[in-house]
Amino acid sequence: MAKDLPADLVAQILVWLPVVSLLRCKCVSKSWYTLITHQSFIRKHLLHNNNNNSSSETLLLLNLFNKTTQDFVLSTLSYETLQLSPTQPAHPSGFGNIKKGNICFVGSCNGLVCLHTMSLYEFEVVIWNPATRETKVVPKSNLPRLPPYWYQTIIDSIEFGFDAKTNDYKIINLLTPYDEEVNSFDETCERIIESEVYSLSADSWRKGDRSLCCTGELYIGGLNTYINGMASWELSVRGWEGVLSFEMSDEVFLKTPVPDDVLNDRWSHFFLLKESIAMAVTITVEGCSVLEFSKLFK
Amino acid sequence: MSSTLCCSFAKNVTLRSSDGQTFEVEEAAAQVSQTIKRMIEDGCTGSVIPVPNLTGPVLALVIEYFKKHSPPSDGCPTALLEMEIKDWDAKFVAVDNDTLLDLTLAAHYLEIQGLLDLTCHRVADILNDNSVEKIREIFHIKNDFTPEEEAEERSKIQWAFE
Repeated sequence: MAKDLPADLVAQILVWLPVVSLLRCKCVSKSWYTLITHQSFIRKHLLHNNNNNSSSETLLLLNLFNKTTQDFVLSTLSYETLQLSPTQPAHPSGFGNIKKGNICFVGSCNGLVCLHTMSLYEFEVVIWNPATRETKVVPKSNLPRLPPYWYQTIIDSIEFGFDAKTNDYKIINLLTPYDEEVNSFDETCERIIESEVYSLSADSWRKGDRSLCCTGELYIGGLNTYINGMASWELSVRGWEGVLSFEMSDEVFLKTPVPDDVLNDRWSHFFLLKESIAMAVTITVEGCSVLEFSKLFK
Repeated sequence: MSSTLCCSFAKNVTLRSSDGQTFEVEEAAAQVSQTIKRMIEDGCTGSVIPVPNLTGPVLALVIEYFKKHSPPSDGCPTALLEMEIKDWDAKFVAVDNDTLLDLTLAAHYLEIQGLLDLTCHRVADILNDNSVEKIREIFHIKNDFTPEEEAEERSKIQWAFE
């Protein structure tokens, strides 16, 4: 008996498959190939997997160095079961010309991993899908990098995320103006932080609409997190310390100060806790170090 | 006793398959199908409800599913009952490939979400376990790639076939 399954029914069957089987199924026929590679099916598959319990566990992405092969490898660690996944080399194709090992992790979102090279002057970024082993080399930004608009890229300033409104993946990079005349320790020195945004669908960079102004010595460190539509950095300037966030859809900045009752003189570390950014603080109480946690925002 | 009494008063509907077989089933059970539910709400209950996309044997299976999944007359289903239904479901779709595809199409046509998830998941398991050639055979799909096109596509994702 001939069974002609309508395309929408085939799609409802295929969403149950793991990625590797889907790749094989592309070879079944031209109509299956078109269906599986279509944007709307890819979204449906992602949504289906997010809604089904198998992927509700929290996974930590680990960037490990293999001493034998002198190479970085990626693996995931389950938050709940502490189970380690098999490792995959962290040098996707497209990074071929980059020296092995010089790769940093920018962020991960919807199963995609954004990586960049560690070199200060070369700014190379790829978006990598470890499940399909596909790589997208992000083109270089053509925004002015030379005087008088000589911006320097801070190594930790790149973040990766998803704009749910336009179904687009974005990379945001923060740039601080570089001026040899200005002493970076000058407490009165005013700095403008500019942003540049890469859109995957447009495959190009553009200058961000908003800039930030701050005074005095500046510290920015990417938190490599993407939660609730926002990318975040740890930011400290004179008189202010907290988390700087960038809303991926509306492209606006948001500043969340550290809690008032946190002491000034202490070691602190920001990290992702469930769906929040949390802060761990070491304080010394009668000669003992005490770790204190604060939940900053959701 | 009251629940049995209630059941004996339950309204029945008659469903007719493409090959003219008729089946009587409780109205509440048949409403597991959104398509039939709409027909009943539109006043089709007086006469026989035609189900032209399903043959008698397939409709008989679907009615078995209706009976197992009809809302319980005495309130909430217990955890034990849910487990029993899960076991029953697994056995229900452990059928030959052609019957499974018939059930999948029936669930799609009759809009039975539970059965649709169940059958689609089962079909996906079969896809997962079989080669591309075998999948074409099971689904009666004609390979419309040229040998060169297929070889090229396969070479791009060689690792997925290992």
